[in-house]
Amino acid sequence: MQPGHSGQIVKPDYLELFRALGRAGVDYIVVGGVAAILEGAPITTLDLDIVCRRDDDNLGRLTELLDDLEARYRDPAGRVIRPTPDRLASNKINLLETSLGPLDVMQSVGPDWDWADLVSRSRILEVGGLDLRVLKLASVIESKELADREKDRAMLPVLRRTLEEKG
Amino acid sequence: MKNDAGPKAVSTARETGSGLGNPPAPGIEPDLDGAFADDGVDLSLIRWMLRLSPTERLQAAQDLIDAAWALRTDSEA
Repeated sequence: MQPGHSGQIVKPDYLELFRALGRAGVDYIVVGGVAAILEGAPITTLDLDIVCRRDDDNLGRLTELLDDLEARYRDPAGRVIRPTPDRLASNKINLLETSLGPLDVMQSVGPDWDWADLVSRSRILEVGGLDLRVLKLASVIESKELADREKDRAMLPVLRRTLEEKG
Repeated sequence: MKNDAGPKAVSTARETGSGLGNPPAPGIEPDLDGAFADDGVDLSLIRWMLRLSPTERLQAAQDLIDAAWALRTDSEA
């Protein structure tokens, strides 16, 4: 299935997406729901949220990969809008559909944490033979508290209890 | 006569400890103490997830998505 055709969401394949990002040499941090899952929260999500290091080389590698994955913005009007380095750098949130499922590329999360802030709030987790940099659960919670969207508020009790159980 | 036979049969099965209606043997009842937080969050599910490796956690999430997609495909067929 081609991404975005007939408005259908392509089934996410998280591990393949991580492998593709790794092969492309993209520097990124896993944030959002998938970060919470990797940290042990029993939740579900359909999209992979990442924050990428914002230098020209890294955004160039990301753009090449997104081109390979036939990425396009999830546009309600059905227009085909492809990600470019300029768009990725200027849009605060890039909601993309790819051949490996939905991918949200964010400039930042939380109170506008920069790359260094996010690195200090993350840890390396081994997932399927890959070393992934993942936002720690406490910071995922903080970012969702600040986002204060209905879907985030619904998830917070489980995330907070998971953090308590982790000790 | 036939209407009396059914309930009698179930009752007999319970009394003898055979069949689907038999009560669990002493000592193997599920312990729900502490399984739920005050706000209703299922702590047993959280504890199960925390016993998994990050790879297994991702696989569990992927399995749910795969199952949902399979159901959707079946319903569209």
